[in-house]
Amino acid sequence: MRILIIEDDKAVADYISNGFKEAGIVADAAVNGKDGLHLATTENYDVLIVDRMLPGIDGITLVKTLRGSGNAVPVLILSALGEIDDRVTGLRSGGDDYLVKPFAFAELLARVEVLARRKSNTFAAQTILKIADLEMDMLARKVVRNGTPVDLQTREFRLLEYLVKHKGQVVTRTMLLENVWDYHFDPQTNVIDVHISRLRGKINAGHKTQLIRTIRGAGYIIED
Amino acid sequence: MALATSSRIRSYFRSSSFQMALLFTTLLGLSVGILGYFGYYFAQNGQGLPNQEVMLWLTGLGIVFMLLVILTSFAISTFVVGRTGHIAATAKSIMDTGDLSQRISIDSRWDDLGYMAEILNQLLARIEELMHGVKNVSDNIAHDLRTPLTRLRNNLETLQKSAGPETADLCENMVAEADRLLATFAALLRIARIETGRQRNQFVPLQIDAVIRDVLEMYEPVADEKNIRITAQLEPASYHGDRDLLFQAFVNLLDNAIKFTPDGGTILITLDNKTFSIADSGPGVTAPDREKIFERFYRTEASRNTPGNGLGLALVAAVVKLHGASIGLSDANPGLRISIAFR
Repeated sequence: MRILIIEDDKAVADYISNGFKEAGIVADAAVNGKDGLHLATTENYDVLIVDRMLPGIDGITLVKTLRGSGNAVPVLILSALGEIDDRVTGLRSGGDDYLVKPFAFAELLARVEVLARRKSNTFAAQTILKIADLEMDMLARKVVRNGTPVDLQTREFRLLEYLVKHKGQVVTRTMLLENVWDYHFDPQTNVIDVHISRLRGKINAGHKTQLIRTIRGAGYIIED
Repeated sequence: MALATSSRIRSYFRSSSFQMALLFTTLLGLSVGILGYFGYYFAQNGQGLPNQEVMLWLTGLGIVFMLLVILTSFAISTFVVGRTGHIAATAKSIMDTGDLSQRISIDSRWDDLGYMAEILNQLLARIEELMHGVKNVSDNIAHDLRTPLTRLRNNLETLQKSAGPETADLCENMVAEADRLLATFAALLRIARIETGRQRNQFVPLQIDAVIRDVLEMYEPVADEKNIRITAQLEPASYHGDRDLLFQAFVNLLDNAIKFTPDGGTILITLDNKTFSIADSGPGVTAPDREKIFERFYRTEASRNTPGNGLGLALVAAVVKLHGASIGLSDANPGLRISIAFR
């Protein structure tokens, strides 16, 4: 995986670069919009991380220019602006994801990995999703584990669907809030954890292997 | 001193009461003068007292003048009341919308009301300037404090990776503490934006009952953990509002209710005639506390030991105000009932 970071704040850029280095991922960096755009058009990257406010060409214009020239590389926009309309403009300009500063590196890493694998994700057309001995029938909205049916409510089904579609990848609590519940809000309590533990209770009851693992300080993962 | 006196005299000449007095005196003087002239005329001609016909004419003339005086004073008072009414309407509109960029229109510069409107407009401009200053300062504080705090947090995270198990645990606690501080800043900024910014561009047609149902679906498992039973009676209610902010407000209210309801307690939620109410079976809130619980960082004695930053209800109040709704507190015997009347 190759990543380009376009960020003028050196501290933030270093924090991200170091994080990727530790995760064994190669990351290039540009400190302004012009250099960033040049690198993005001449080199091949899997994901771009673009700061919204950049000297020269700002992040939004940069993404629009890229999209205008037919470049479909996944882009994650970083911004200090966190209101919903800021987010909407960010995503409308062609960004694929939007992360508000300050953020934890684990959150950024999880999102970048999801974006990088989006290209190869073929789940959209599948009607049956499989993980370990669990099967999800997307048409009948039914779940079967090792031959035993599991009775899930609508939201639990969507929660499991999101996890399974991103199997092998860490999914953060914020990602679940944004994608499984369609509201942008601050949950006050660990409400996601409560839903996950309910879901775990239902799909793991009577089975030896426990699906859905908690990754400390990051989120959840479901693996084969 | 002389200057002040002269300006006071000048302002008196410009005042509408002075102008009204001037008009009255002129008209009265005019009528007395005319009557006097007639009297003088008759006396000169040696006719003694005027005959009945002339007396009748004089009375008629007097009545006409009096009517003229009444009409003029009526016109002047209507004019003055209309202008003060306009000033009051502008002031009310500023209070209702929070839009400080509005000004009182000035249709004349020669009288005291025009002068007052001009001074009030200058006052509004000054307030607007100060509000902008406050907003900028709080935005800058939040931003300038957030940046180093984030750096601190990130460095701690880096340190955690290379530290021994004991130090790593400590680092994790510190990272969590920094995250709480950052969340508090974010909440403060959010409330400030809802309050000052006229953030109504996210308003869409929605069903309040549907939003509440989504909140219930999300928080029922949390209530279940405490064996709290939630009863909801929701009537359909169409509304125009911000879906995410309303969701957040209901979440904050329900989260509070769950926090303060003891194990095995009940929560009653109703939506009836566009009035939402939530009643918990917790300890309730004493009357002196009720006025304060919507203030930022205010926490009642009972809530000191519960998690939270003391901003939840302040955000609810800001969202309610943004929607032009009203919020009220009452006793649920036991517990607290919070009602929001959407219009």
